Amino acid sequence: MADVLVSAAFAFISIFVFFSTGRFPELNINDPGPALFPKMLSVILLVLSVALLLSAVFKRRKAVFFEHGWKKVLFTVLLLLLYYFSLDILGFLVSTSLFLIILIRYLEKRNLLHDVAISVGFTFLIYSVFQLLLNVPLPEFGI
Amino acid sequence: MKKFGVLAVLLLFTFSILAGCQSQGGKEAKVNFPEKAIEIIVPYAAGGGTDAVARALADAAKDSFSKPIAVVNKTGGGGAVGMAEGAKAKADGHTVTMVTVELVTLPNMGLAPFTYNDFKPIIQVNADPSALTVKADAPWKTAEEFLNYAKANPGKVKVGNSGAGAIWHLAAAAIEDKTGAKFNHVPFDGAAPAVTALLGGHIDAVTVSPAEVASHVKSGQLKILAVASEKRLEQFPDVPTFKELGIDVVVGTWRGLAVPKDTPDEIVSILYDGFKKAAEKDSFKEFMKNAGLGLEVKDGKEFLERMKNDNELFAKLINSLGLAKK
Amino acid sequence: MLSHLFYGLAKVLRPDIFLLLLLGVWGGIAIGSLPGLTATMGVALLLPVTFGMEPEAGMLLLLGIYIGAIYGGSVSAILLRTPGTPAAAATAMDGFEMAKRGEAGKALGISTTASFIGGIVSTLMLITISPILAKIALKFSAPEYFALAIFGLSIISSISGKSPLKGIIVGVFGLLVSTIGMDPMTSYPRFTFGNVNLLNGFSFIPVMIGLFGLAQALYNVEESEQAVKIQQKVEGVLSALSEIKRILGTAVRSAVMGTFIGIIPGAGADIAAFVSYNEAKRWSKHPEKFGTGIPEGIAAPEAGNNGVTGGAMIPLLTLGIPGDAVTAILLGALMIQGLQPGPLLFKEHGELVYTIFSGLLVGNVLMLISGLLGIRLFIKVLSVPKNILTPLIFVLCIVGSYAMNNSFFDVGVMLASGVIGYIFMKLDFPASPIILALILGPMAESNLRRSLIMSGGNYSIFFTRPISAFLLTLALITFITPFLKDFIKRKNLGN
Repeated sequence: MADVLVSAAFAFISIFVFFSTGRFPELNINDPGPALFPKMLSVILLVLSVALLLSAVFKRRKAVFFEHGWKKVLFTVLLLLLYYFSLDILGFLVSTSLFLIILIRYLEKRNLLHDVAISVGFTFLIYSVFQLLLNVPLPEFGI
Repeated sequence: MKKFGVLAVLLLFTFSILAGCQSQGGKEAKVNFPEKAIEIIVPYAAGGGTDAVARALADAAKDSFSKPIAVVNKTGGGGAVGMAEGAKAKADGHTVTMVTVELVTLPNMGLAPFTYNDFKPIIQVNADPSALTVKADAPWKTAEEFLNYAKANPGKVKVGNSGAGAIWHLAAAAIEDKTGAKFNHVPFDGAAPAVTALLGGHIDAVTVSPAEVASHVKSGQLKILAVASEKRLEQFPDVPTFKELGIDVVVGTWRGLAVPKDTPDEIVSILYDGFKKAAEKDSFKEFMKNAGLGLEVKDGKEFLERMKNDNELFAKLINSLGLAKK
Repeated sequence: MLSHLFYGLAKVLRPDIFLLLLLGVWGGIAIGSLPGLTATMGVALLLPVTFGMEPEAGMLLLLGIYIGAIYGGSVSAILLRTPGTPAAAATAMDGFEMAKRGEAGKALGISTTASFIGGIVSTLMLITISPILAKIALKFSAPEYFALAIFGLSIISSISGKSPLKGIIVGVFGLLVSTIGMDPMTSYPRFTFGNVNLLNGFSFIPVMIGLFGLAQALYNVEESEQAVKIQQKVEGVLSALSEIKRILGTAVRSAVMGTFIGIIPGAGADIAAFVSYNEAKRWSKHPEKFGTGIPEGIAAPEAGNNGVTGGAMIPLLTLGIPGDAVTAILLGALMIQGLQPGPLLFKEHGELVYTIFSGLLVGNVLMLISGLLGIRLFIKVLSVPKNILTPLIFVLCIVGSYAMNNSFFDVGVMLASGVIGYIFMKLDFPASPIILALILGPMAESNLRRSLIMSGGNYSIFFTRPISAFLLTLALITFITPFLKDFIKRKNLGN
């Protein structure tokens, strides 16, 4: 079932690409132009996704996608998104410490003080390696 | 409850550190500038030529200002991402952008959400002309011979450049425009691969900067036929300019600093004084000489003039090459 | 020549210079093992520091970083399935499998020894026969690059594991993704939807961090409920030494291949690693075991990518042409010191050249010792409880993808790639083909079209030039071999 969905997605992408290449210009008579590569690839991808679709239909493997831990994964992804947006607002130090504490505690609750110490310690470690040692700036406190 | 307490202490701790970093305000002055670190946005990757210039200049300027200078690389879009961000930055002078000739080429190709009018130039520090370069054992001894051959065989001479619409492509187009020759333009992914292809004899000429061919010219593998500058180059005094040959082509790249257009003039002049002092330091001059980059220090007004002229020239060339996105 | 080398060696062993080299190697290993910080970026970041140094000192610091970082990428690839550098993406395939079995120490030992062999072999080639080899760099023109890219892409069919069809599909998908951004020949913006951030296409590093690192971390989250704690065996050094005999042939062959790929300008450690992996598999007596965590699967890419270090120096020093992205920065470093790499460098600054040679030899030895001694330390990472390690990996992925270009957009790209990579993992779609496609897609397309512009639209240019014709034939063989083997096996089973 999952393979069917994926091949449908790939097929959709290839059709979209094929039609968008129509507007691409051509400049040099000897250059096949910017459209050639994507157009060719989109045709190949379409053929392959049909092949995948057929093999998926014939094999009928049992879908094993949604297992035990999917709720955890979903929570993590949402938390990552929140972390991503908070970086710009709260800056690296605050949002990273918070993200770490929440996720570590979510995955398994052990000694709170220990977890907090690790989160803050690691955040400052990364901060000093990147910002202070390598001079690679990290997002600053934004407000 | 205990948990909450720890969290609160933690937050307080981080906040206070952050606050400490920010609240060291400057002394009272007429125009209080700089109030915090000055950031130079470099629209190209660390390790490249533009990055090196910015870092050398920032290093030379560290005594000119009361606050530190940080160089930040914001790459992407052939320079468009960094310059777009620089144009949109807060117009308080603390975010300075290292602008390059792409400031006037990208908008004309329809690839950038800004024009040179979005910036107020501070200072220009570098300019390099295009140098028409061929293999040392090529049949052409002079630029005239080369151009005559190109005119007699339209579309045959393969001229390598650093990318479609990049400055050295436009330089070759400018030569075509003024002489009536017709080249076969071969775009490469940067100047270095183009020079390598010339060394290997896979193309006939390149129109990149003198620095990019200098080592091969000195070792006798390549020769420069002409340069597209106003005056002959110090480094190659025997190479004529196109102007001397009666071909009015002056084209090349440049680099300098600029701030968003709404930045107050007092701040711009503080920045100019500071960076001017840096650009005149021996350490910076030495760096530019060793890196083979042309030192050309000009004030904001002259810099703006150059942008304006180049903008007109490139608009025309980009249209004639069919590179303007419709 | 030997006396020159001894002079160089004496210089390298001068305490202050030696210390810089050692610091470079250590810093390089650290930078390389952090996702997002590549060898190129490490060298670029430390470049300004060398401005004030004497040329020998500055160069050796940078070379130390180069050697260390190319090796360091394998550490995180093996332990966390998060390649620290693109060059280590191939190492993750077998390295992580081995670590999962509790043999992380052995895997690290193999990668260290193989990296050392790669570095030493290529440096010896650099010292002895570089003028002859340098000519290869000039033989490569657009048709050869196109053929090389196609050869690299043909590997997809053999690194796709259980399902070649799925591997090829994601490979083609990766090629399509690689066409996003300004077209290399006309600068026309393709599929950018007016977004300036997309003009140069997706940055490759964030995609890689997402597909490998973030996807694996999400997988860890899912598994965390019934996590079985794997006891890591610690006798890494010893067991690795006992494997030397087994991997020596593979490592030396890969080192030579890496050197050649390093010589070719524009082809670097990432390509070398994949090609070496594939060739090791091709010549192996048991190719089916690749991907399950076998020593050759680690030794080949690691010897190959460190082979590039010496190889890329060959055109740099003899012709003044950089062999890869790192040596392009080294070229700048030399020029800023007032030195022009190229044929004249040997004549005018022979001492510097031999100091560089000696520095590469000593640097590789330092990397070997530090790497082997460090194994115990590196492995400690895996004794961190998963509920703590996994969140830390997430932060590393985010910081690594941001630090590349200081771009939030790249972080978003990384997150999206991570989710896609996780889904792919669950559905048995391999991730490596996408990486290969993103590296080689632009190279294939631009050189195909550049060749045609140069030849006046004549396609025969690809078949009349010997190197190009050879590589294209090799590509065809490589691509169909797995299918042929499969076909023969099935036929035999049927009988």
